[in-house]
Amino acid sequence: MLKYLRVPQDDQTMEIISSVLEETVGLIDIKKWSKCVLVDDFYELFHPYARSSKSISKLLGRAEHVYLIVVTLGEDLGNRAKEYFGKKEVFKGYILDRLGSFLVEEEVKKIDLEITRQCKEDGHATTHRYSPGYGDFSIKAQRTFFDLAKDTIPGLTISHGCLLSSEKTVSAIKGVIKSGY
Amino acid sequence: MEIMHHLVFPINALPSSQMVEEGIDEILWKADVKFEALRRYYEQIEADVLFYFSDVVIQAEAMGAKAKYSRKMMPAVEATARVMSLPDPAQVPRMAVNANVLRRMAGEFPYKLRAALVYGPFTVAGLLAGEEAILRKLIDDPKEVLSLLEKTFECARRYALYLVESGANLLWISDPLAGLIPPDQFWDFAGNFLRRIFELFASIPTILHICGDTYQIIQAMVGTGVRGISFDNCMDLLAVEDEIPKDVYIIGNIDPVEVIELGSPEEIISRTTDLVSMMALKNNFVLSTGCAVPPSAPIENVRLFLETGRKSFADLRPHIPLLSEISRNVYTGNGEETKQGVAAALEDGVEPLTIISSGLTRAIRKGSTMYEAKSCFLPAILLMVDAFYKGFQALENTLELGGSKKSSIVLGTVKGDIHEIGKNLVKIFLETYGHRVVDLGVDVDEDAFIRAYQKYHPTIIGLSAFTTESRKEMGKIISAFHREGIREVLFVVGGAAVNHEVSRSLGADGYARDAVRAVGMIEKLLQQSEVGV
Repeated sequence: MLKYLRVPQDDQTMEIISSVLEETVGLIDIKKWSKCVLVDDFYELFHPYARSSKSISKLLGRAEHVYLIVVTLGEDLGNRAKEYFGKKEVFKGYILDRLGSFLVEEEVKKIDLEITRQCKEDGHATTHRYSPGYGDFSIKAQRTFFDLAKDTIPGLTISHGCLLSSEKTVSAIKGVIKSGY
Repeated sequence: MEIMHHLVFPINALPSSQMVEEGIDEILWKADVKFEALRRYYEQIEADVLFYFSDVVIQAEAMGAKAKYSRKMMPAVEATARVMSLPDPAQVPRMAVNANVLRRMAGEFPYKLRAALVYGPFTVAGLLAGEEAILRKLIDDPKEVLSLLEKTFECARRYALYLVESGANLLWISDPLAGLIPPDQFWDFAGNFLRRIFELFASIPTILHICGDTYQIIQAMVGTGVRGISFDNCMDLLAVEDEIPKDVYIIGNIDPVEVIELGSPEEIISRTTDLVSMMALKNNFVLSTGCAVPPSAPIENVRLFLETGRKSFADLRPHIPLLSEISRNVYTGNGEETKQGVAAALEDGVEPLTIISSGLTRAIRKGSTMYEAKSCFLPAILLMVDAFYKGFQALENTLELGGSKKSSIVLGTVKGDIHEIGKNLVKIFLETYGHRVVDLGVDVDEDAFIRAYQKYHPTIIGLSAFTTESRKEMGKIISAFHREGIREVLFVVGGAAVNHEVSRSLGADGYARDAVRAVGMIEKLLQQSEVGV
C-alpha cells in the first residue's frame, strides 16, 4: 500500500509509518455481517433501487442467490485521523485514513474470497462484487443494508444522504450462479 | 558568477519610443533619435542591463526579407526573401545604427551591462523562409533547413561580433521560434547553432531567451554553454530551478503585458515582491520580465517594477542563508529542524511574514509545482505541510496574522455527504498559502452556506461531494445563491463525484481534481478576478 501511495522511503518517514501502523492495530474494531438471500428476495428487499438498476440486472441476470455483505472498522480510526488533521499532523492523518480504506477493503475481499471458495466447492459460480453507489445502483440502497445489519453491528449509523458511518464501512452484494445455468 | 547576482532589468527597451516625438519607424533608422530615446529612458529607469531598442526582423531584412514599418508598431516581415545574401553588418544601415547607439551608450553608461541583442539562427531562418514553411521542412527537407541555418548562423555571428566590438559587453540571443521545434529536434536545428555562437563569446556574459514553454528543452538550453537562461512568463521558476546548474543564471519572469503594461501599481508590487520572495534564495536568480516589455507600457510601471524588485532583494539579502535552510527543511519534511530554523531566523530579526513567504510557503509552493510536474507525490507534500506547521507554530505568537491574510474562503462537504479528507486537505493547503479558511464541516445545506456567506463575505466558496447523489446538492446550492441575488462569490467544486464536465454543468467557476491542484486553481481565480489581490 505504501508503494502504491508513493510514500517516501527514507528512515524518518518509515519511523512515522511504523508508529501509525502500530496505532492502527489498536484502533480498528472489525465487525462483519453477511447473509445469503434468494435473488427474488433481494429484489424485494432492495426495492426500488435494485430493479431500476441496469447494472444490477446485468450482474445478477443468471444468479439464483445473492450474498449481502457489510464490514466496518469502527469509529476510532476515523476519529483519530481527524484528530491528526486538527493537530496539523496531516501526514499521519492521511496515512491513517488510507490504511483504514485499505484494511476495510481487505476484510471485504476476504469475505468475497471465502464466498467464492465455498461456492466453487459446491459447484457454483459467483459474480463479482458490487456496491451501492457504483454505476446506477443507488447509494440509497445502503438504507436496506443498515436495516438488516444494525443489530449485528452496534454503532452502525446512516446519514440522511444514506452514507454508512463509520466512514470506513463497506456494503456489497455478490451473486451466486448455480451450475447448469 | 557575481557579475549578474540579483540584478534587475526589463527585457529590451521598447517603451523608450515614448521619450521622443518620432515614431518607431524613424527611431529604428536614426541613430541620434534612437540614442536620445534610450538615454532619456534609462535616465528615468534604473535598469542593470541596457538594451538598444532591438527588433526581430533586422537580421532577416539584412539577408533579403522585406520588412514593413509603421509609426506605432514594431516592424514585421512583409515578404520572405527571394534572394538571400550574407551581409557585412557595417554595411547594413540599421545594424550600423545599432552599433553607433551602442558606442554612445558605452560612453553614457560605462559601468552598466549593455546587451547585444541578436536573434537566433532558427528564428531568422523562419522569418526568411516563412515560419510554417521552415517547421514543415524540418520533416520534409531537413538538409535544406540545415543549409539555411548555416547562413543565418553566420549572419548572427557577424552581427554579434560587430555589436560587441561597438560597445556591447553582454550577448543576448532571443530565439522565439526555436520554442516551436519538436524537443527531440531542438538540438540539431537550434541548440547546436546557439552553442557555436556562445562558444565564440565565452569572455562576456551570454543569455538565451526562448519564448513559450521550454520545460522539455531546458537541458539542451543548458547544453549550449550559455551563462544565463531567460524564461518566458508562462514558466514556473520553482519548477525549473533544480534543472539549472548553479553557475547559470535563472532570469525571469514577470508578465510584461498583464503586469507591466496593464497591471495596477498594487499588482506590480505584489507580483514582483512575490517572485523575488520565492526566487531570491537562489544566488543565480536575476529578476526580469518574461519577454520584451511592449512599447506602450507606462514608464512609471517599468520604474515601479525595478524599484520594487530592488527593494525586495535588499530586504531579503541579509537573511538568505537562514531562509534557505528553513525552506530546505520544510521541503524535506524535517519538522524539528524547521522549528529550530524559524527560531533562529526570529532571533536574527527576520520579519515573521518574510519567514512565512520566503521560507515556509516557498517550500510548499515548490512541492506543489513538482507535484503538478509529477516529480513528487502527495505523501511527500503532506510531510512538507507538517514541517510547515511545525515552523508556523513557532511564529504564531509573534504576529497578528488576521490582518495580513489573503482573502477568505468558505469550504464544506455538501448535504447528504460526510466525506471530508479531501476538503480537509484543501483547507490545510490553502492555509499554508496564507488564506483564511472557514470550514463548515460535512453534510452542509444551502442555508448554512448562505449564512456563512453573509457572516464571512468570502471571495470563494468551495463545495465538496464524494457521491453522485450528493453532487446534485452542489447545483442546488449555487442556484440558491443566485435566487438570493448573490452573484459576487465564486464557486469551486471538487471531490470524487465531480469532474470538469460536471463542474461546467453545475455553473461552477472552478474545479480541481485534487487538493494540491485546487490551491493553484483558486490562486489563479483570485488573480483573474482581482478580488483576492
